Amino acid sequence: MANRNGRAAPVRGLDLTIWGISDPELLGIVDDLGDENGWTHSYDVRVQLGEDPETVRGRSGVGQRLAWMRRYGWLERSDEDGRWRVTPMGHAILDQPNLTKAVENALAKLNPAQRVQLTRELAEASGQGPLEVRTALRRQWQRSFGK
Amino acid sequence: MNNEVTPSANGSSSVMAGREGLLASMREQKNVLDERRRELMVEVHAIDEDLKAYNKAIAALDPQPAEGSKVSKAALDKVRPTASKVGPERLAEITEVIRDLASKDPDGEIRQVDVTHVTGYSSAVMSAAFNQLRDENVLRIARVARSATDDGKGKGTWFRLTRPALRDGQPQ
Repeated sequence: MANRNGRAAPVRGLDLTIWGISDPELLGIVDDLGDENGWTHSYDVRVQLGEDPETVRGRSGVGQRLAWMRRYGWLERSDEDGRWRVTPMGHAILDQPNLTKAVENALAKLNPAQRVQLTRELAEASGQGPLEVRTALRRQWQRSFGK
Repeated sequence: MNNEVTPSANGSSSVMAGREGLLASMREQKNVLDERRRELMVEVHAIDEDLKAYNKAIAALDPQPAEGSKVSKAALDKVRPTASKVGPERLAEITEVIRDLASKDPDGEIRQVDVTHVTGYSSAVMSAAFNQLRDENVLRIARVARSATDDGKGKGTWFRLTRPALRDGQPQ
């Protein structure tokens, strides 16, 4: 389908906000598309997310999202050809272990006031952890709380 | 008002004076009661505000309403999660179907619509379940296909099991 100016209407893919696709999901897609050394192009990620780069052109949010993930330390970018790859910390986030059933049950029994206390404990504990993990925690909070 | 009393033969002026006095007294009494009522209303309002605050704090510590408590359902709902959730049994059933379909796909990918065909649940239930599984790090988006591929895979959003979910599904 074409616009009134004769250009093809942009075919956008997924909602690229943190609420449309989570950081681990986007990391997973970069990992899926990686070559034998794990590298992939923004173009391929855009196509994988249902975007048509020919019609969307430079107005995609994929590159920006990937660039932010590089700042967070979860992706690295090749200086030679601008391709992306998941860093070891990114792999750690992808591999995040699930909670045990006992922990899940204990969390389910917490009352709201205890949850506030738990949030404080988590925030304070992560303050001493790696910056990449603190960012992951903040963004997960943002995504879960904004829903 | 003219308070001058004109004496008359039948004594009506004294009756009039008595009625005026009674009315004045009753009006004064009514004013006192009105004032008292206003004071009590202010006090009741203040107590209501305090009660609300206490009920809210009690609900935060114990979601079960206390006996005789006037905490409304809406107030209680505020301390409960509002997002629609799929029950654990139903979610486990859906997860099982997802694992089964993903194991049959060469790329380990599944679509929501394919799982819906097997389980028969409504799309609302399936959407909630898929969102829940994404939040619980069981599923993740793999790709969005704008058209069917040559190998017969249809268009739509394709999901796959996350690494931890794949590990959980492996025989120990």
